[in-house]
Amino acid sequence: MNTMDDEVRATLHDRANLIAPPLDVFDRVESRAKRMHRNRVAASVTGAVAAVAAVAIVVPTVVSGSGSHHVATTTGAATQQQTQQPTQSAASKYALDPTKPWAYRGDQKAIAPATLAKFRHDWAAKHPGSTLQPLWGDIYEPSQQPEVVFVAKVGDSARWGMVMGAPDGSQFVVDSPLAADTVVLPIVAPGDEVARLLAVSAPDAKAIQYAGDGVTFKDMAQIAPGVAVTPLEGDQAIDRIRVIGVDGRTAYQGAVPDSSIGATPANLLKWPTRGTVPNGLLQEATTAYAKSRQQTAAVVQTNVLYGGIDAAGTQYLLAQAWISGDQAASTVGYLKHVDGTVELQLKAQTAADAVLVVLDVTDSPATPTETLVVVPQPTTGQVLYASSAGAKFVPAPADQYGVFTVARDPMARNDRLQVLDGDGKQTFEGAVASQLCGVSGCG
Amino acid sequence: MNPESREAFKSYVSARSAALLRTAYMLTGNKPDAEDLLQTALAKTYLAWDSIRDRESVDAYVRRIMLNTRTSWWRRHRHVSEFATDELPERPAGHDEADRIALHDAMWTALADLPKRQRAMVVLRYYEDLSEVETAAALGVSVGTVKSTTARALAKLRDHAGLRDDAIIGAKR
Repeated sequence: MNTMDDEVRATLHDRANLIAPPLDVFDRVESRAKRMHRNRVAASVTGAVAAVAAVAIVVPTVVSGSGSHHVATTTGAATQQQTQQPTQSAASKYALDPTKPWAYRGDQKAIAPATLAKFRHDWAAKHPGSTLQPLWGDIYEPSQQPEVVFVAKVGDSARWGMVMGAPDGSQFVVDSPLAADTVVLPIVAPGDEVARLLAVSAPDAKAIQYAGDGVTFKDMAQIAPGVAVTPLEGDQAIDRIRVIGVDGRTAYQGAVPDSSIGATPANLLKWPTRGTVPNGLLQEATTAYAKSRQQTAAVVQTNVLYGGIDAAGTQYLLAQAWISGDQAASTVGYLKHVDGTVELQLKAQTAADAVLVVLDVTDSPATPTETLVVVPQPTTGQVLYASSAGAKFVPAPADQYGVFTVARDPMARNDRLQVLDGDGKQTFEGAVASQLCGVSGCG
Repeated sequence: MNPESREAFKSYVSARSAALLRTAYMLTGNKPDAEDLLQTALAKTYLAWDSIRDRESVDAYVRRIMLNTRTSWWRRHRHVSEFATDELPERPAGHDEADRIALHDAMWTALADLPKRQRAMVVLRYYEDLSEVETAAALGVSVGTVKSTTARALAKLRDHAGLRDDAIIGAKR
């Protein structure tokens, strides 16, 4: 046993001894467990399905698109098949007509006047002149926020979606075109433990079923007539959903939307927010980004990667930003200098498996060096910098969040970055210039 | 859960929650996250309680859930800084004690800077006092990985400002 071993052990035990025992643990645990259980099996089923006879003809095809779910229509014979293609069946009676939408089902609190007005306001900001019509709503227990599935006429076409309340505005989890003869609106929504598959169909559909293995269908828990939910625990490469008509025949069968794209753009970095985001800076950045997209801030969503302030007092943040419904997020840098001037850097889109994102912080044109803020994957061990093609890589200093900074000569050419993971294995090496690409090119 | 099982689980929580909270704290670095992590792990254990036949292994079960949950949070809870630290109570200190506390503060900061996996291994090896084999089993890695990763973690701690050998030796004098 050596000195370092002793001190690590002593530090951990010393810290641990300062932690007071928790109170009321059992009650809290039991409450949480019951909530998890409810969410998993959707046990708190309310309502029952009103059974109305129907014969169906047309069935939609669900097409998972990156960032949104599209429902297109196919017409064909009333047969059922276990393939990756949606099944055709008799169904037009169940189809959603945007001019005569299904009656609202669910909790009236979810569409309380002020809440619905806010949702409609934010929707109209996104789609001017359009008014959303709620089809189903609920107060989602874990967040205590309303969530509403809706349809809306937008000009000559129609869209459908799901909106969730959030402290900073409405979050449109789904915003997709509505194809003719759509029978079911399947939504992969955030869940307490696992994602939920929520399906909204016609009030007179007999049942909505889910097959995690693509074959064995079981009734989803109905939470209102024609509305059902199930935890999404199946294999998403093969799982299927189907709607059963009142005659017991399949009115629709198709793939389940990909949960990875259910609520967020496909290229969202699943990194924690690091650093400190100065007060108000995120709002300013959001507004600036919205302006650049000719949208309002209400429809912008962000994934902040890092925020900080440099020695000269320049506040900055690095984030991904997108308009609700976008298939990919933009990477955005926002700087606010001490003289009040601001700078929005619209960077090239970052891939979901990116190893690093770099922000160029330059305090003034007269500054002899600029600062590269290198925000790497959280598992990164070290970032190294070489000031030219032939120069040796030297470790860059890191802050407590594992974010590295490099003092860079603004005239540098062919300088390079290298990234090592926590085990010392190289995960990236490339030119700095390639990390400073903007939406309109690299430099 | 039947009343008998519920009482058994309640007894387990009562007996072990303090120790488990400390382990959660070691993994998260701050008390709010530690409490949340522990509650989540225990809630999952509650749901699985009747299927856990070996009650001697419940600690290991909960610990494994905490490690897995921590990893999944790390992916999902992007609003939480990875190693946010909270304020701990002031401790009265003499001169030597002050040196020791300063050293431990520096060590704690250095531990917080370790990559997640290295930190988990250090916690399991030096706080939980698990063997290399037990640590490997808890994390689902090879014993060789435990050895090499722990060695790298210690090397990183040694290189951390404020934790040079002379600082440690000075504090121990």
